[in-house]
Amino acid sequence: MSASTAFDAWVSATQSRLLRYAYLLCADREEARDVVQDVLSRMFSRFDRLHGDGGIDAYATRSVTNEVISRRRRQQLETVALTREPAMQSATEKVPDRVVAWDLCRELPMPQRAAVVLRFYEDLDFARIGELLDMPEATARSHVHRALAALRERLDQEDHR
Amino acid sequence: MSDRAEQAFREAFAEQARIPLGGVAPRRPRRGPLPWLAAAAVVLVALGVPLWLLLDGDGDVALPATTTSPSATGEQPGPTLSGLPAPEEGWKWVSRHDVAVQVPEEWRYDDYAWSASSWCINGKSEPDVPEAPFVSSPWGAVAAIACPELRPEWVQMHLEWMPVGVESGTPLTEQVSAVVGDTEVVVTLTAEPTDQDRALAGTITGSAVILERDAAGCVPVSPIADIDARPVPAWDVTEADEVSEVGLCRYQEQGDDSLLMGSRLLVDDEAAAFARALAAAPEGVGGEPDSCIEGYQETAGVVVHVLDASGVRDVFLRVDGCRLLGADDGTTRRLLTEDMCVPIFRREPPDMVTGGGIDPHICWN
Repeated sequence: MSASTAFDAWVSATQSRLLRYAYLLCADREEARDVVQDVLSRMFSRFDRLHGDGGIDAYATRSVTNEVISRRRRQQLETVALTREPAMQSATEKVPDRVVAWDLCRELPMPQRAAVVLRFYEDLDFARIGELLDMPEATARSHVHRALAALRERLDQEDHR
Repeated sequence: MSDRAEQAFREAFAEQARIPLGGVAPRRPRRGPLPWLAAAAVVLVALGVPLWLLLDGDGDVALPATTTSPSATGEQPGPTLSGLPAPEEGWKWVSRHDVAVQVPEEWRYDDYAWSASSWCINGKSEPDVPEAPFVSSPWGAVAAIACPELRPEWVQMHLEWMPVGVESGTPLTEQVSAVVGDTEVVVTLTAEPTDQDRALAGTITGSAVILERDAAGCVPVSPIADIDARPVPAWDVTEADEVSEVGLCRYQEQGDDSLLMGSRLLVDDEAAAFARALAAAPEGVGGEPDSCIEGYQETAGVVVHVLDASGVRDVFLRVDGCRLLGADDGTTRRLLTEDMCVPIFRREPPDMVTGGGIDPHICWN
């Protein structure tokens, strides 16, 4: 199998997971596609070496995370963020927990958000999350626990609204 | 409480991850990409062709086939939906999922490769073997009918796409194949193939490529499987002006995605007639939602790319199930009509795709 064919096969097997991961990080379909395309395009020339190392999936996940963070930094320099208005809800309508969670997730700083996605979407343990995000395991654990604490508080507020 | 918060995150991500995301095709380093792009840009600007026609929705550079070859026609190149190079003379592109293959122009689609297992139900002594080589339609349901097994002499030469790694049993006759991505392109030969047949099969499998857009402008994965998805940007099909090409892209849901099953490019008068048929359809929504089976998942649809003086816009045609049937340009929903159904499902000989999932009778209503 040629390097190009092997790369195609790897992309076919991997891109759906990377796209979903990227989407959960940036919450924008087109941006997620751009991110994954940029990452995969850059990986093509290094595919043989990365594949040989056996850590290509981790590298791709890390690259997607870094690319989203990098784009966010560029956007912050170029745009003025508007305060996000909460979705209109009727006084009696209870907001589902998953909606509260998704709203909170979109407010989290990107490394914390990545840790939460890897923990609760990909079901990874903290050691693996730390490895993928290039941070100590304790930091990954702390990111997730703080996000959970914030969500509990948010859910509690919702219950008493 | 901890469980509730964790569960909320899990449910939120699971819900969001169901949003159709399609696929991407990594850009490969090209030799001299900048001179090519610059030259193309100069030519296009000189011709008044919008540069965005060279770019797909993600801003990627499409293949030079986005303009027709001036050497082939002697005319100035014009915009086209195709994302593939022009086929060899006398050949055409056929595509499925993310793989396109060139076959001789006279090859048509046929269900024979998977429907022949039930040949005896019509009381015949042998199946109706197609007279000419064909492109096999996507797999359909193979009935468990106690017909005598097919004999090698009942095999006709045909092309099919198989997922790599799927065991499909011992073939009755010789096959020639090539792996492209996660697809194996297979040409099955007759019982007594000639060297010419083998060479033809090798040429076919050797032409297989991974596609970003096929010869009708179709992408490998579409959001049409999502019943609530509508074309973006929304537009008004009645305002289509000087339609030069229409790409018909048939999708079928498989797993989480809606995958390309087959396509056809209409050009010139045929394209314009199809666009007029879309515009003339009465407003409304077809189907009988009250009689829907609960949980029925619509699986089949056609994405129509309309290329006119303004560029490329899409219309979704929903033809499966009992909800939201009809044409949708993102602004207005219209009922299916015979004029829009014939070019897709009822033209003879079939040269788009047959079988599998779509009930073409809906188009007779």
